[in-house]
Amino acid sequence: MGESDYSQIYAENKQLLAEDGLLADERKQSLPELPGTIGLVTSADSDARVDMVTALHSRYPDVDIKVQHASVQGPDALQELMSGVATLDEDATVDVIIVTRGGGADKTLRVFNETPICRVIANTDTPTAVGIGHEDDRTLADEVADHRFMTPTHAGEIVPERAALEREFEQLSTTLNTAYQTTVVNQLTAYGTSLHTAYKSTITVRLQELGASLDHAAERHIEAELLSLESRLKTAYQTLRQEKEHEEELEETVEEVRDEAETEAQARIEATQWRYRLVIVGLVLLVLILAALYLI
Amino acid sequence: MTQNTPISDKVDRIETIVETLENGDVSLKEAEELHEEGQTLLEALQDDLDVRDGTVTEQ
Repeated sequence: MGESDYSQIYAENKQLLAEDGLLADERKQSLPELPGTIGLVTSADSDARVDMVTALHSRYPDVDIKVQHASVQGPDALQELMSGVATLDEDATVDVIIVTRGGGADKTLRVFNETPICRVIANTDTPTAVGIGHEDDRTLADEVADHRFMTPTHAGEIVPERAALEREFEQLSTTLNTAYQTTVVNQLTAYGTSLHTAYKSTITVRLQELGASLDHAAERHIEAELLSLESRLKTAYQTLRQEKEHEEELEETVEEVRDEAETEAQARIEATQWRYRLVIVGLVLLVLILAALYLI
Repeated sequence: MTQNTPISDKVDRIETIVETLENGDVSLKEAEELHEEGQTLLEALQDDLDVRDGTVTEQ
């Protein structure tokens, strides 16, 4: 078949697929972020298989790969490719199906423009990725797949780089811990400031209350003390006054007693003088009498 | 979030947690809860990394 004739068939096949909506972007599924198991449909002994496995495991060594052998050219290719894709689609452990082959003559790639294999690829429940030939090669299988990659080597892009993910997660962990520590430090600092302010305020208020109470108590104490002193002064004054009065009374009594004693003594002296006078008069009379008698 | 939550969703959630913490408008208790949630998500992400055993099966 000539190239121009095949171009016509290619266009017709593409038209058929387009009419069935199999080329629409909205049909395409997203590939899993991190597939655990990748189903690979390719020739088992091809360089494409080696390149694919190497590319996938160099980026993510832990991913499992299930290789579904299929002829990629020749009379059995169409059936084996369809069977391989269908088999992997029925395997629940497979997260993404990759269909690939290395470069070759344009005619050897034409099986990937056949509508049956394109319909199988387009209708899988499992996301699909197709990379056929070299970078310049385009097939209808590429068009209906959920994802197209340039060459088998580029298929490694189906999986993320594990080392890059580990670095990203480590950076996330550091950022998270830093943000948390900063938040805690800021919160504790704010709490500390609030606590200090509240403490100072409480202490100030309390001291003011105590000061007022102290002033009030001092005033009451001084008032009580003054009252007490006033009372004691009054009492002392009264006592002193009473003692003074008593002393005056005593002085009066002493004066009276003295007067009485002087009067009494005076009376006694006078009485004694009288008695002496009487005795003297008696004695004089006696002498006179005796003298008279003597003279007589 | 569960173990089946996509990696990108977990990463987005952690970044949201970091932004919330950095905004500073959270209490200590909320910050601790967010940090624990972030740590749990990071552990889940580490678990996610160990997808399979890296075997190649020919069928």
